[in-house]
Amino acid sequence: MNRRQQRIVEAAVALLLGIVAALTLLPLVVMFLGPFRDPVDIMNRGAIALPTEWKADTLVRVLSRFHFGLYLVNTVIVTAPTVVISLLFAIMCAFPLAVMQFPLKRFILIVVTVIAIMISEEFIMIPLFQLTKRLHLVNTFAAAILPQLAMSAAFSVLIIWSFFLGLPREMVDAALQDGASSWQVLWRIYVPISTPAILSAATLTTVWTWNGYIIPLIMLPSTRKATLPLGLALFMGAHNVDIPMIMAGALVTAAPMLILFVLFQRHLVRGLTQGVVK
Amino acid sequence: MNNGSGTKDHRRTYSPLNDIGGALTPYLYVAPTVLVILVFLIYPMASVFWYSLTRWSGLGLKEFIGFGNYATMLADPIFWTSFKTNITYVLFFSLLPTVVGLLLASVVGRSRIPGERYFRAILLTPQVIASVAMGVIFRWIFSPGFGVLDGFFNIVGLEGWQKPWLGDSTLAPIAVGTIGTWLWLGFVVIVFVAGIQKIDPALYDAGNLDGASGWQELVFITLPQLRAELVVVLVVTLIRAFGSGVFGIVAAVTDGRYNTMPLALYAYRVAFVHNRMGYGSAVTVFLIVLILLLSGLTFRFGQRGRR
Repeated sequence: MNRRQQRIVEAAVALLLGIVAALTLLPLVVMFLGPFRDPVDIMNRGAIALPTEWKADTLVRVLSRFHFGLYLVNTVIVTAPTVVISLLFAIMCAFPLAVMQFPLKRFILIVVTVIAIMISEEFIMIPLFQLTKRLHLVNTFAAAILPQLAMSAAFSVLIIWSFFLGLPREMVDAALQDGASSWQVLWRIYVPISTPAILSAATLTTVWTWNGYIIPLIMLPSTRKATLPLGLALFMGAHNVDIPMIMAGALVTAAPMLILFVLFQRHLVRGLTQGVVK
Repeated sequence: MNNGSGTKDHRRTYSPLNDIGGALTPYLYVAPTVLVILVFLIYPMASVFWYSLTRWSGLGLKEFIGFGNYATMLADPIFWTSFKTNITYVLFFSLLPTVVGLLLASVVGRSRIPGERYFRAILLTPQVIASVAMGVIFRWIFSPGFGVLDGFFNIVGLEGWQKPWLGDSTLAPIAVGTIGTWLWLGFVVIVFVAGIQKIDPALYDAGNLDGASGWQELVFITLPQLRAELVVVLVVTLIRAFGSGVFGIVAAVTDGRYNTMPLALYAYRVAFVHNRMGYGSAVTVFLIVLILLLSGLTFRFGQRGRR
């Protein structure tokens, strides 16, 4: 193949992927433009038109008057502890599974793997709600955090464990000869060089918790405690004709994760495509 | 996926770390994770099987009724409609993206892709959007009259193509299905392209020498080499087509009207709206068994190829 042919092939490939990329981005463009449209204008000029003026009124209104500011805070309250604690647990759990020998190790590994790949909120939603009721946790953030924490931990163990496995053992032995404890080996040697895997796990579980719908739906019946996806669903039920307002709600829900995606693209892409995808 | 061999090596290595804190140390490390998994995932998962054998409103005592809920389920027309709808979703969320993604990847995967990093990011963007937000956006896209799709048909002069996409029992499940195709196609392409780039080019050179057509290359070289990716893609998309992914989308886009209710949403309705915890659990058990069966079959198909 000469260079010109190669250029043509590359252009065709780019065109093909470009079409797929454009189709992928289209609904997001719809969401981005929506809050800047005017409901009457949508009726008059149709859905496909640029906003006549770029005012953030709708966005401000949805955040203040329609509680999306509160939903945003609630979502952070649920997501931050879930991610931090599940990572801490997962790092601790992955460590002996990767470097120590002990009875039940294989069994624990298999259980965690199956749980991480298989389990989904809707399998456990009914008993989970009953359990929460018995623990008197319904309508507390803890009720939304705990099950999500368990799922995130199982999932992060897989990512972090497989990274730990690939690390050279010589440095551990050297540290041990210098009198370090296993706890010190974990936090001073393993964790610092495992940043890529830990970031992958952290970003993925953040996205997953932030976007979660079923668990908040069941655990947080009070509107004051709703997370963004739950609040968005409630809002749409009440105002289903005010399209700019609904798109503003969607934008407030999606934008933080889109920003996270841009900032941690490498880690999220690796986590998403590594094969242990949830 | 890529650490199968690593595990084996480590099993044989003697670990001096065991001597540090005594025999209990590894268990202390795993305890927090194992505990939360036991209490919040395994215990509820086991309970749902027991619940499914009872009649229970969620308050008061459970009444054991054996397989009564399952009998109710088999005679319940809404259950069967949900089941059929869910099969449509499997088609659109899982099989269609897999087939189209495989074809696309096999076309683009072997040449240098200009701007590959950007394509990868764009095609994966839907993965970070909340399912409810997706549902809300597509609800506008498919809205009658002032929706984006109908607006497009209006502009290009195809007014006749305007349809009540979400307000028709035949169209609505398909319209919702296309949301799944939108969501997963990019992911599938990325996974397959990464897989194809790992295949030894010598295999294709050998194929070229034997005069293999593009189609033969796909069937005899690319496909067998992509078995692991194929299994991952199928299992992941299958689980999502039955599960939490589809739940949020449908809740926002149609709220289950016009034959769009998947099994998971039906189980939720039965349990939490009609307060029939036992029956809802039976539908959930059906869902769990179905997913286990389908992913099990997919894994076995992948295993067989490795030998």
